[in-house]
Amino acid sequence: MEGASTRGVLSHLSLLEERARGRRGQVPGQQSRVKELRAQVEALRAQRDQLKAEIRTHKNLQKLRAPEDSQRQEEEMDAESESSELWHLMARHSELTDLLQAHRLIGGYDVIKTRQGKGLCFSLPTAYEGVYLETYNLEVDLKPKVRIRGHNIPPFIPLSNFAEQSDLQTGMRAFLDTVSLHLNAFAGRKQQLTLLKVPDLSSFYL
Amino acid sequence: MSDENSEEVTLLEAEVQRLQAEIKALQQQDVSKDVTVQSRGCMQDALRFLSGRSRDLEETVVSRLKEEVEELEEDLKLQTQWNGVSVNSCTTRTLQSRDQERVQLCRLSARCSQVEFQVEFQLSEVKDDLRTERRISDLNLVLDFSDLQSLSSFLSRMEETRDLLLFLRTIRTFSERCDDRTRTFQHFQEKFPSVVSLPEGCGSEVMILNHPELPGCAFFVHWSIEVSVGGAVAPNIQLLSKIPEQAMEQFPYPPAGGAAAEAFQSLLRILGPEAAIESIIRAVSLSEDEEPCG
Repeated sequence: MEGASTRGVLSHLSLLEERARGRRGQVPGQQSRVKELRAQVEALRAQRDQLKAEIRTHKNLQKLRAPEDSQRQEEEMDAESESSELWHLMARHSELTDLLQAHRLIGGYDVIKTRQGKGLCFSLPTAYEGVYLETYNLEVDLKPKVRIRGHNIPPFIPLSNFAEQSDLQTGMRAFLDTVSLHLNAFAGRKQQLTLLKVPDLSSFYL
Repeated sequence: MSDENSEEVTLLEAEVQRLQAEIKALQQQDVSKDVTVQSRGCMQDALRFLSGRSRDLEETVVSRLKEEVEELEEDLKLQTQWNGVSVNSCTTRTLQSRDQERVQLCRLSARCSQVEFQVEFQLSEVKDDLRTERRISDLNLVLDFSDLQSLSSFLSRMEETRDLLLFLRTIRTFSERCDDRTRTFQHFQEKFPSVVSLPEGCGSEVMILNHPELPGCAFFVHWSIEVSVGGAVAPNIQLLSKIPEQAMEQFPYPPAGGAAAEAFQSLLRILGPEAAIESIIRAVSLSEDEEPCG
């Protein structure tokens, strides 16, 4: 009997020894394979959680931003209750982003305050046949009186004449509109020429 | 290779497969096309918080987002003030989104003083190494304004040329001229309430001048604002009269039909719209304390 149990214990021991050796003396490939897979699982979980958050966010923001049924939505949102302030802020952020983009798309001047409110910088977009072309910039001083500080508008556009005609103090926008009109005429013509030009090296590519 | 190890590897590999499938299913839901979420800044921090992978407290995320929202509100006020247009709503829907190209459907509704309008178009953005090309197509313009006649050719032309920039500048100028008219008409109605009437309210194109004691005689100041196809805005003020035969003799200076209209045009040129209209009103009301003008 003793022989059999000893053999049993011994074989069990040798099994454990083998395992221990197996763990210690693992071929580096196996260990790094496990590490690699664990890292991959972590990364995939993060990606999945991010996607779920994005989907939830888009659904909630769409509900919050839709004008109809806002009363019912408010109630639905409150039922979820956690983070409702966060959702409302996110919805407003999304809305504001779109509204500001709208201003830019319809050709607004994309005003920026500069030098702690002492100046303003305007962007004048140009476009032709629906294609947005160059944007020009003009910076003004506000104090002591409104005055052009700098710009990158081509010299053949008579800025100082326009500035006199419009009186920058009260008619800044009229001035900008006039400059914009001329810039767009110039940009349009330039674009027309570009579109009409036939590349004269074309024969080399045949 | 140890058994335990290979067991773990198998389990991990299975988990990877499962997660990849789950991600693929989530990606197919693709709800991102209808709502704008900025791809950087506080919105991304909020998303990270919502996915449970952020170290920030909710209060921190909320307060930073609140700050950014306030900055955006200020920015919107500034743009509204300088662009002379108030955008009421704007929605964008992504129709197509590939590596270098994105096509969106944009719908916005806005207002320039009295003039409300809606704009819809497709915006395509194509990126290459140097820059992003933005292009508008399928432009639709709708104007909620009673005085549509002079504007419809202009609108068609703008839709053809897709000239959103000229459209905005023109509508803004047009709305300023409308405001001039409204202000002037209202001023005269308040100053001479017994003589002046505005049949269509203050947005009216026509101001009617009646003498309360001479029924059947009326002058019409017709102030239309024309918009050319190229976006030139020009006010056009005409004086028309309706005077029955018998009444003609009553007038010291018979302002018969064409003569009155011409005289008015001269007055317009010399005195400008407000003073010219005031002269006519005083002539119509035949007020005694005023020098009759001819």
